[in-house]
Amino acid sequence: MLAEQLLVNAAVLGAVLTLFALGLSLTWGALDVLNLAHGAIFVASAWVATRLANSVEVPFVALLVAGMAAGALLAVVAELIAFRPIRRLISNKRQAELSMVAATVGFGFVIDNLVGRATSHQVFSFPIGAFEFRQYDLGVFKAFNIEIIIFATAIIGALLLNYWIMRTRQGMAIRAIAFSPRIAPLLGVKVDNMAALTMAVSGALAGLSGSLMVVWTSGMDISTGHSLLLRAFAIVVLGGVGSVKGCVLAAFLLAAVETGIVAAGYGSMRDAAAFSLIILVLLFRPQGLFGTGRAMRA
Amino acid sequence: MKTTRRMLVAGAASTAILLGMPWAHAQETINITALVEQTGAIAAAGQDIGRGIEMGIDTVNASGRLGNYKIVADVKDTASTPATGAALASQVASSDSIAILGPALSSVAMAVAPIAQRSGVPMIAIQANTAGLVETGDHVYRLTPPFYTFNGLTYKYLAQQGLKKVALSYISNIPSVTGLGRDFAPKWIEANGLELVAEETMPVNTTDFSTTIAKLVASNPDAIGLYNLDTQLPALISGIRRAGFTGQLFCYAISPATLSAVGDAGDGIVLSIDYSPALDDPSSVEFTKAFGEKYGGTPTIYHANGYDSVLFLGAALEKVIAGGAKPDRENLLAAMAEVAQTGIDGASGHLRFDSQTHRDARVAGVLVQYKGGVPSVLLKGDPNVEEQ
Repeated sequence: MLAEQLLVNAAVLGAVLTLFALGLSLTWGALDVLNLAHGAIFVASAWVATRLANSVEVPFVALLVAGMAAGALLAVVAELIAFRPIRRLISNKRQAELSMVAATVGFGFVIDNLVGRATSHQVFSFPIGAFEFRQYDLGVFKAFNIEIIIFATAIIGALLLNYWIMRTRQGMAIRAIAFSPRIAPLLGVKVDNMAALTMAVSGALAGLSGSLMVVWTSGMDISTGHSLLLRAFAIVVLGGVGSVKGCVLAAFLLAAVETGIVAAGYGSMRDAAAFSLIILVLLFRPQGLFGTGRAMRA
Repeated sequence: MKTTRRMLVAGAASTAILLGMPWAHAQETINITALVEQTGAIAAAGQDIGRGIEMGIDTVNASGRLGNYKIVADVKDTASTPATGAALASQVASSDSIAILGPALSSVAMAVAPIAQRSGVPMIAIQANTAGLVETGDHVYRLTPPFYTFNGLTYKYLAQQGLKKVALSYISNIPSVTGLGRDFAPKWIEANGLELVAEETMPVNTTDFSTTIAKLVASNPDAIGLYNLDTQLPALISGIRRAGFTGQLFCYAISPATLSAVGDAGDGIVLSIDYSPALDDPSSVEFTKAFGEKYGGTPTIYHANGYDSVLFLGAALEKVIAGGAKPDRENLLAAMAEVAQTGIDGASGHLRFDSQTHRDARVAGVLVQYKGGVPSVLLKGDPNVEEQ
């Protein structure tokens, strides 16, 4: 097999993991919400996009937007019905974090159940022809259009997210919340609004990655979100919670390791090897590759 | 006059008693419990099995074969977890339920079987392809023939087609499926004069197959076998076709939803199976037709498996009732052993039982090919052979 093909495979897998993990990293870093419903939102958004595509003929971009909107909506609903009340009612930070994790598990189960019922727990997909696959020669590489789209979307998405967090007033407000949700309001930050906005962006990222992935894999079911969630969790920890750069680097590192292991003929060991590497890195950098402490998160 | 009055009084009293005794005409119930994976990892299969059981019960109850009795099933969700399955089985043990139907997931069935055996509750497992299940004890039956008893048909077909080189992909951590790819397929390949040119494994939670696909296709096989979960097949089938592979694809199971998702890429795919809507055995045709009339659409293998489990239970109960015995656990178990001697005609054709334990179902099996999502039978197994 050509090494170039392996590079393409690793790059696309890294991009998929990046898109998925960015949303998880954002809410965990900024709001202290380890959103274990992220996988369920990812699948539900993809399902909404496929339902739309099966109902009306719309451009592919519109399907992506629908997936993003569905993801954003679900994440905001979670914020309004669960996270915000917890933030208000529980003053103990550690207790609030644990309560929010429990709430995300519950919210994820509800979404999974609804999507499972709607799909009869079967594979769902875009209708044939909703996306036309084409292969392109890019010098020494060969890649399909969906792979190029996923890669470009992940890179552009990460750059935009990084810019938003680091260079805009809203990003500054989010970083203030990440530093201290109690001090942030004293600086004029509307914590509730910014939390809802952060959740919406996180959900939109889940929706975007879900809608793209269901094209790439030709179908998914609710288990797909669970599989990705564990790896995304590892990526966020490895990259440093809240770090966009760390998230991207860790996603591509994990993808490279997994691709290399499969190429070497040890496919059944891909999870074990990848997570062993993560443990190894964390032994030397417990804060993750780009984790620099709470003050710099988000 | 006196006699006439007495007769009138006696007649009126008899009528009054009869009218006042609703139980004289009411059906008695035979309670059973269906442990079904309605949620969790194999929820799609579990829900189909549940519907198959429902249809089977309706069919048996409507047949009148159980006389004044009717089967009533308490359907419980195992959530595809062994702990839940075991807890539910313990509840059944202390209930008035006389049999357990299911579960379908091997790990859950393996958790339930010892409890059923210890408690004296006859258990009729559905799917649950794992080795060692029926060996748990004489109370444990399995109504779904294990994959390995008919999957060899696929390799006979490949050899008949003059194909030589086979590449395999299989899941590494589901015992029943792993066993097919790792243990049985190489034997069938060798037995049919084929050559194994690539073997790719992956954990069950894998969502990215690009490198696996590249390696499978690069081995230049004539056929690629996919012992993967249904949810993984869209990515694998579409990816393999997009990578330019035009040879024969085969798998061990595929759902209508997956066939729809892959579209033309699924055309020509073959698989050996115990039930297909394309089966022409009279009992299979009857089931397929009745299912369509009752629910609309085409039944899946899981519907068929659930249905067959109830037909077997119904046949055993019929023997108990016809012999004038009480339909309890002990009498049911004895009758199940009797029915297993001759087998039953069900959705999967004639189901018989293995020669070792006499509790593990066997069918001839068929090899079907899909085109436009519709199966057609290419090859039938030998009904006189226990393993094809």
